[in-house]
Amino acid sequence: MSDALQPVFENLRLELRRGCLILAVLAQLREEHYGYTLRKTLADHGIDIEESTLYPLLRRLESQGLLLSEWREQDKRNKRFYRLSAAGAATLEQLLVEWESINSSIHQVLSSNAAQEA
Amino acid sequence: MAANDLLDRYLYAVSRYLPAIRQGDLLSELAANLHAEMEDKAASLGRPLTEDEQADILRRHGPPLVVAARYQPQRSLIGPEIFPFYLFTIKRLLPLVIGINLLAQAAVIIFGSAQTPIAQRFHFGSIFDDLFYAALMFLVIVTAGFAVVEYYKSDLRRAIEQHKWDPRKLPKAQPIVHDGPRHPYADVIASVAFLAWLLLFPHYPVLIFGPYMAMRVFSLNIDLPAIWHTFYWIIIAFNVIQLAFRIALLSRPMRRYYHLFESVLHLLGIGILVFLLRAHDYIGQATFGGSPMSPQTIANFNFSIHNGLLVVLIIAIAKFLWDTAQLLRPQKTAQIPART
Repeated sequence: MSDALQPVFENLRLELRRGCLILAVLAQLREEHYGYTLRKTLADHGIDIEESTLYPLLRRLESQGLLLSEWREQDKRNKRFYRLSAAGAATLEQLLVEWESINSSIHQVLSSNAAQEA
Repeated sequence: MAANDLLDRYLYAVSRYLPAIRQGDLLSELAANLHAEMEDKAASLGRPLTEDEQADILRRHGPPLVVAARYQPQRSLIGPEIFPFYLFTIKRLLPLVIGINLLAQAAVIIFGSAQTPIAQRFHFGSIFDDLFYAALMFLVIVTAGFAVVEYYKSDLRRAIEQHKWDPRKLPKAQPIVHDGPRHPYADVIASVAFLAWLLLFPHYPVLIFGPYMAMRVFSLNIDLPAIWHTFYWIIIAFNVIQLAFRIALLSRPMRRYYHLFESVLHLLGIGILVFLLRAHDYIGQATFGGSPMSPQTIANFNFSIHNGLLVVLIIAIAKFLWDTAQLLRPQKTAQIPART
């Protein structure tokens, strides 16, 4: 890729990732996590997300009613644990349906392109 | 201890940019996450972190101001959805506001208080001051209006979505006419430059006579009758109106009035020529090389100027009639592409 196109690609990549990150965070919070372990778990699954992006995102999702949180002591330190709320679980299901639909549509477009080229 | 100092300093720096009401809660969470990360890293290395290693973690986490800003709700006075409408409104209305302001100022100068001489009513600086404040106020009001729209955007979007528009109610398509000034910006610059020159030359005669002024090649002195004084202010008013029209023509939608503006200016020009023709004395007393000119010479000059103006008037009227006739003829226009 040419140097001139690199910033364009970066912007598009960020836009593409933005929605997917929310989906990944909601899906991962079917299990309870606090900020740091959530980031580590996502990274282990190949989804790298900066702390300064993730922690405010958790607060935003909580204020939207999609997450629940509570302060609890673990390893002699108070930590804020997050998990999916009932509304969050319902929203996640809807988002996953949407994501699957987009994914399958894109695959259809790609396979029809490939068939035309062949 | 030094390492903790570093984290404390970082948290304190972040806290300065956080809203007081949520500060304690946000800082505790941030501290817990950073502690966990540092402890995790220390456990993987099997030793306490050095100050440099802690600094690396904090640096990666981001500058305090940026980190704190991310905890604030997303704020923008006018967001990307509304911005195109904001820009469209400014582009469409700002030239009108400037044009109306210039016309109003011209009217005040020409028809202002009779007790104040016209020259005292006119201040070059105050025209631009008024223009600047009118434009600034317009921008402030429009920006504030759109900021309110941005704030209630979701309600507005719902209202727009509920409003069922019907494509069948759109106005009939008209041929697209590509018309208007060829160089609208150059026209405005030229108008401003000419107006400035008109306003300045009474104070700086060198702007008319150039270097000859200093060389005194011509020792010609002419007394000009009062008609020229009035004529000067009429020309100023004419140029202010022309400038207002040219600024208005910067706005694309206003270009549909291009020919109307041109016709108005043309008629005003004819009016000015008629005004000049009503006078027969254009030169009073005159001396050349120290000797007074004979009354016969002056009368010949006046006769020539009068006849010259008459010829110009006839040409101007003929051109106006020709241009009007051309406009009234059916025009070849670009068509909206037909469907294939």
